[in-house]
Amino acid sequence: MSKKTIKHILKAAAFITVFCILFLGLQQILVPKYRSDGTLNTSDFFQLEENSIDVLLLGSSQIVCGVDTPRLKQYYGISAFNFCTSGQFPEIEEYYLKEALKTQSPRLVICDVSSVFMPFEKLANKQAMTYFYTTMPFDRYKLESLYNVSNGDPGTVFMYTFPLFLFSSRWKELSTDDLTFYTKYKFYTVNGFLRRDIKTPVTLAFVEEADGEIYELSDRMKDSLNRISEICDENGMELLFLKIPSDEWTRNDSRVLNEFMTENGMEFLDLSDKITEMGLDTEHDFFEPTHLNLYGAAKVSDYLGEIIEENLN
Amino acid sequence: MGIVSFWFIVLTAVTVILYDLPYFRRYGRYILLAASLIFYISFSPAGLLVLIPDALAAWAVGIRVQKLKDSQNADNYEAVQKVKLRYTLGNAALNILLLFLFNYCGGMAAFVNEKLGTGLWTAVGLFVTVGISYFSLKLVSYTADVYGGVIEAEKDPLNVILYAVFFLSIMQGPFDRYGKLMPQITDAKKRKLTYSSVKAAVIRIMYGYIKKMCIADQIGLIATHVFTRYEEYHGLAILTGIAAFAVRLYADFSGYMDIVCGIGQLMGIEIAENFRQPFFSRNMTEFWGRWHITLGAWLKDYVFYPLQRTGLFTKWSKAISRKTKNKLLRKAPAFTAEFIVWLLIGLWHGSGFNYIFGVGILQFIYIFTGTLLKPFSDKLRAFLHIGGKSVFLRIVQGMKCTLLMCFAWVFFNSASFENALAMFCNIFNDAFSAEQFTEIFTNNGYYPFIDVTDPLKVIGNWNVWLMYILVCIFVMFIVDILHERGQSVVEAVMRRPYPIRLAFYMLLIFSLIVFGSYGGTYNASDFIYYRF
Repeated sequence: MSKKTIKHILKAAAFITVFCILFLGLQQILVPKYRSDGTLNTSDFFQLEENSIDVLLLGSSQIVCGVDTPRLKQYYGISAFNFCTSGQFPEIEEYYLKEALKTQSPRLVICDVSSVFMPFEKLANKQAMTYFYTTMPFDRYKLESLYNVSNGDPGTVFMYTFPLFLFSSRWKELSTDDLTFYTKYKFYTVNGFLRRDIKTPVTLAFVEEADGEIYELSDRMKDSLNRISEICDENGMELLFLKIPSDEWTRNDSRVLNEFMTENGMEFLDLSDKITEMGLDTEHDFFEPTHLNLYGAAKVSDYLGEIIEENLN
Repeated sequence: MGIVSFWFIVLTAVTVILYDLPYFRRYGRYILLAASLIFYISFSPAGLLVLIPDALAAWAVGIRVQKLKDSQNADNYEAVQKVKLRYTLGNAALNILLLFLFNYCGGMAAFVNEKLGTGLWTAVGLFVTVGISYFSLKLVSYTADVYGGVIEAEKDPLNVILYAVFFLSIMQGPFDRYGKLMPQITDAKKRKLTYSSVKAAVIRIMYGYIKKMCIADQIGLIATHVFTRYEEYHGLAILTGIAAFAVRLYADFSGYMDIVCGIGQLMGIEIAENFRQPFFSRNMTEFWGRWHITLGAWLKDYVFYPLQRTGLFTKWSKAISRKTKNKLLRKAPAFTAEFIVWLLIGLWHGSGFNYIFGVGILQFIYIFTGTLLKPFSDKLRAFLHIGGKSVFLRIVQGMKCTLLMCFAWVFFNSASFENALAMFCNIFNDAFSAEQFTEIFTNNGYYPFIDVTDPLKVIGNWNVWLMYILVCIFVMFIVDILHERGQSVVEAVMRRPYPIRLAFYMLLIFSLIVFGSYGGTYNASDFIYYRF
């Protein structure tokens, strides 16, 4: 090989190296660091020691606010983690489950079903996609999920795989926090639980015995739920689909979902039906109509804790 | 498939690679033709129904004119010349008719219908023929050049079709001459491609994209916002919008030219330059020799000079020369021809009076007034002892040209002549204050009746954004100064050690990635001159 060729190769290598370093560095700086919507849960999950959790919770912010994982540990000895993001729906739960199983072997997986009746287009909106994907590692599961959720749109796959292109315009809003964020703390939440101390009286459709409209589960949603079930079966994990009480959930929603779950041999626990049992107070235990506060979360977690303790032991 | 799109980059990359591979050298024109047709079809497949027959007609006229020319001798010279002229003018008339039909007919008919209550056909249902303003004039220039003996008629019709549909000039020009462009494509030996030229080409392309995406599209948010909501703004806000449009237009148009010239360079094809630091012009005549150069050159060569050579103008010139010794009056035929040219330039941009006036009649007024006042300005300079090469003078002259064009561009960018006038009135109907400027960014109103969010929200932190814009304008200005002095930034960088070149490449790449306008909020394919 001539000196000239070696020189060209070295120059090319230097180009690629510098490009990658700058690209990844800028990406780290420009991608937003969300604080209140559960995106940070994903970052924290990958800091956990391997095979250190017994219970993996997947789903939306209703789980993030509704299941007090530190309480489960403190009072029931259950190591649990809310591996959730705002607006997470079953297809994303499936993706997160696959990612989680790379480093963890939980005995029980709990999946939130609050979004199963929402139209797909509403669930897979741009903002939600940024929450789902921006802090997740680059691997084939991410590409697969992006491809499926975007219905095969290469532009979307590209943008969310390389979020620098998605968030490049944030250069106008950068602060010192963007530069130092990842150097400050190891963990930003405690096992993925978000404490909310505000009390807001709410009215729950389920409690008011409003039957509501009858929605059908879409085929896409059914397939996702089935695949989650298959993954859990393959890995010898228990699976529980869970609904945290929230204002818009009706008895018809519960009934339709319950029918599907029963037909497919899946476990479903609708906590909307256990409000009295849990001692949930609609005046004091919610911080907004769709999310429990820390008092409500404590009650839900106590209820869940007993069930989990009983079933896992 | 706009020029700022993934598929255009793919198409260009494939075309360049195939074109430059020695194995495919002799198929170069077929590769370019295929790429050009794919590019054109992505915009307007039906437009080919006009473009291809039009190109074939021009080719046929060229062949006929060439045959007539070959049969010309001293005996039949005049008669054959007349026939040749008829064919050439016939082709020109065909293209003018097509231009009128596809570009002006609808607008003019709608105007007449509105004013006179008639029911003329407003070209509803007529398909869009993208690039007709460009390919029609190029085909006219082709037949005119054959007629004038500048080039021989092309025997292969595919070459004429390629010339018309060439993807690097179909959307925004330039108006390359057949004799300059096509030999570079048809004769592989004429290609000038070296490793250095490839590197320079890539840098030029990147600079073009930076001008378009990082400067024009960013500052365009302000320009569009102020121009569409001028009723809400006054004073400094309007002036800011006008200045923003001027920067946007220059960055957008010259950026496009950098991209196409750079791509041409990658294939060893020299595309005609369309800009030469226009804001450094000393007067408006020079400005139009530096801005949209090829359009002005086309009209000069195919309208101005031929008009002056017509019997009518020749007789008029002679008559005036006999009757008066006044230099200005003797120039009346030339001024008249020039007025017609400017009228056509205005009309070429659009049928609305705002175009005809702003980039037509007004430009003629500028140039005519400049000629009129030249003796006085020369005397004033001599009185003030300001030499012709004075930097101060150059700055004043450049600013004068810039201000005059900013005024004209208000008409160009307004929805109508009346809107432009109303905009000017709004500048002065309130005392100037700094709040008028900041209001553009802080007045996050909404578009009534339109369910969209305010595009200005994408600006975000406007203080930082504004600093960025000022830095961009400064950089563009410095680059233009260097080019004006005959210095090339690219060559200067290429001479430096590799680490510096690497830093420069990274600066270009990441400027594009970080500061570029792309994503859902921007329509990156929205080049201003696409609409012509």
